[in-house]
Amino acid sequence: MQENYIEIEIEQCKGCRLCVETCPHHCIVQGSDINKMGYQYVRFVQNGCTACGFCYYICPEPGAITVIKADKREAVHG
Amino acid sequence: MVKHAKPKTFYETFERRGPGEKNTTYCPGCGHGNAHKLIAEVIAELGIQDRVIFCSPVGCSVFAYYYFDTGNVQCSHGRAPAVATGLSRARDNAIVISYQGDGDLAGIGMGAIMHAANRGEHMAVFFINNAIYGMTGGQMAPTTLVGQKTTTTPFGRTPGREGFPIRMCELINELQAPVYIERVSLGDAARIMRAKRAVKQALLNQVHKKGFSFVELLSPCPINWKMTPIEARKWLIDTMEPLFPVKVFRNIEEPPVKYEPPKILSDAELVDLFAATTEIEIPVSVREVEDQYIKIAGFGGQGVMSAGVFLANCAIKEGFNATWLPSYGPEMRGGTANASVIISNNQIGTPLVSSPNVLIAMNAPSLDTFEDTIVPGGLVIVNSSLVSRKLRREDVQAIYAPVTEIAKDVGLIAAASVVALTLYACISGAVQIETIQKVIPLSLKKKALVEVNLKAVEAAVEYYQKNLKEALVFSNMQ
Repeated sequence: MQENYIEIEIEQCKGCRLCVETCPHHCIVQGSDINKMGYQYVRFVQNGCTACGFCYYICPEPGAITVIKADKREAVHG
Repeated sequence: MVKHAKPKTFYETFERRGPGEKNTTYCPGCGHGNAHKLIAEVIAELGIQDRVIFCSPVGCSVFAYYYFDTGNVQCSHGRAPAVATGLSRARDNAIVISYQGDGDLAGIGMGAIMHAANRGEHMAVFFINNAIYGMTGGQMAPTTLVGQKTTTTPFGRTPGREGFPIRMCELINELQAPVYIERVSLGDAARIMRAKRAVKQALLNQVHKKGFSFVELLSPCPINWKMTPIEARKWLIDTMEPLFPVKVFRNIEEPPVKYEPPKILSDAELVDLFAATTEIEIPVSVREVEDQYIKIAGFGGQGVMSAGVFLANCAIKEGFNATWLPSYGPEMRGGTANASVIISNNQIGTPLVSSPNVLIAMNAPSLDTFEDTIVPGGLVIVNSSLVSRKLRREDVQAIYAPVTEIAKDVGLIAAASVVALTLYACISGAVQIETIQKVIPLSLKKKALVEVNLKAVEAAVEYYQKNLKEALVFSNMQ
C-alpha cells in the first residue's frame, strides 16, 4: 500500500531543525551530511507520516518541503 | 497527490546577484519565510496573482521582489503604506499588499501607517513583529520587550530610558476606519496554520473592497535574539505572546467609511480651474538663443516667484524649453527668496541653477548672496531703488535700474519684478515683449492687476528706450 511521504530539497534546507521538532511522528531527522551552503540538512524517514503538513508550514523555506498524500484509490487498485 | 508544495505565487528560481537560487536570503529559522509562504499560498488559492501589487519595505524582506511573482514596488523606509495608498487609488483592480517589519512600520514609518489606517485605505498590511531590528544587526526596535537585550540596550530595555514597547494592533484599533485587525503568531505549526486564516481574511477583504486590513504576525529572529531556531519559537510563544496578545481586535462586515474617488474633471473644467488657456499658438520654429540660466532673487513679496513663472511661461509660449524652480529659506523677513529659470533650445537636465548667467537682484542681500556665483560675462540687473552699492565684480555686465520706483510710479510696488523682467527681456532679447504682454493676462485672475502689470511692462520698455538702449549699444561697440 502506498504511504504518505514528504520530499525534501536538500539544497534548500538550512538545517534549522524546526521540522524535526515539529513532526508529531518523528519522520524527519537531521543527518551529519552538509549541503553546498554548509548546512546540515534533514532527511525523511518513514515512520507513519500522516501528511498533516506541519513540517511544510513550520519550514521557512518556500520550496524545501513538499508533502505528498497517498492516493487512496490508487492504493486500492495497486 | 501533492498536498503541500511551493505555491505558484513564488518564482521557480529566485534570480539575484549571480546565478538563480531556490532558497531565500533569510537566516535559518526566520519567520519571514513562513509569512511569505502563507501570503503566497493565499494569493494562489484566491487566484489573484495577476492583481497583487506587493509593496516591500526596508529590512530583511527588502528583497521580497526576488520571491513573489506579482507586481512589486520596493518602497523607501517606512513609506510602504503611502506607496500602497497611491497604488490602490490609481489602480482600481489592484490588490495591494504592504509588507513591513517592526522597525519599518512602528519606527520610521509610524506616521505613514497611522494615516493610511485612519483613511481606511484599501490595502492589506502584514506587519512582521520580531521585536528587534533584524537587517542592521539586532538594535532595539519600538516593539522590543522590556528587559530584552539588544545591541543598543545591552543590559535590557529600560522603560525609564527607552520607553515601553509599542503595540500596533492596539493603537490602530483606536482608529475608526480599519475593518480588520488581528494579531497572530508564527510560534508553531498550528499557530502558523491559524495565521493563514488571518492572511486570507485580510486579502479577501481586498477582493471584496472592504478596506484597511491589518495583520500583525509575531515572528522569530533567532540570530539577533541569539537563540537556536527552536528556542526562538519557544520564546516567541512563552514571552512575546503574553505581551502581544494574539487575538482578533476587529472584524467588521460593513466598512465604516467608503472611499470616495475624486471627481474626474473635463478638459474644459481643468482649463478653468488653472486659469489656463490655449489661445496662444506655440510657434513651430524657434529662434536660437544662448541657454539662459536665470536667478531672480529678492525679498519674499517682491513677486520674484511669479516673475519666474511669467518668464518660464513666456519662453514656453515662444517654443523654448523652460523650467522654473522656487527656493525660499526659513526666514520670513529679511531673507532672500529666489526663483531659478532656465530657457533653452535643448532639453533641460536639471532645473537647478547654481552658476547663473543672468541675475536679477531685487534687493541687497540677493546681490550679496549671488554676486560671486555669476559666470564671467553674465548679465546682472540690479534694483538700484533698494541696492545702493555697485557690483564688486568687473567681469560681468551690470545694469542699474530703479525698478521699484518705476513700479511705484505705475501704482503697484509688487509689479517691480515684472519691470525687472521686462528690462531683462529688452536687454537680452531672450523673450519678446509682445509675448510678456500676452502671457500676463493669462496668468493673473484679477483684471485690475492685469492692467497695472501691463502698464509696468510699458513703463519698463520706456525706461529702457530712454536710459539704457543707447548706453548698451555704446558699450557693446566697445
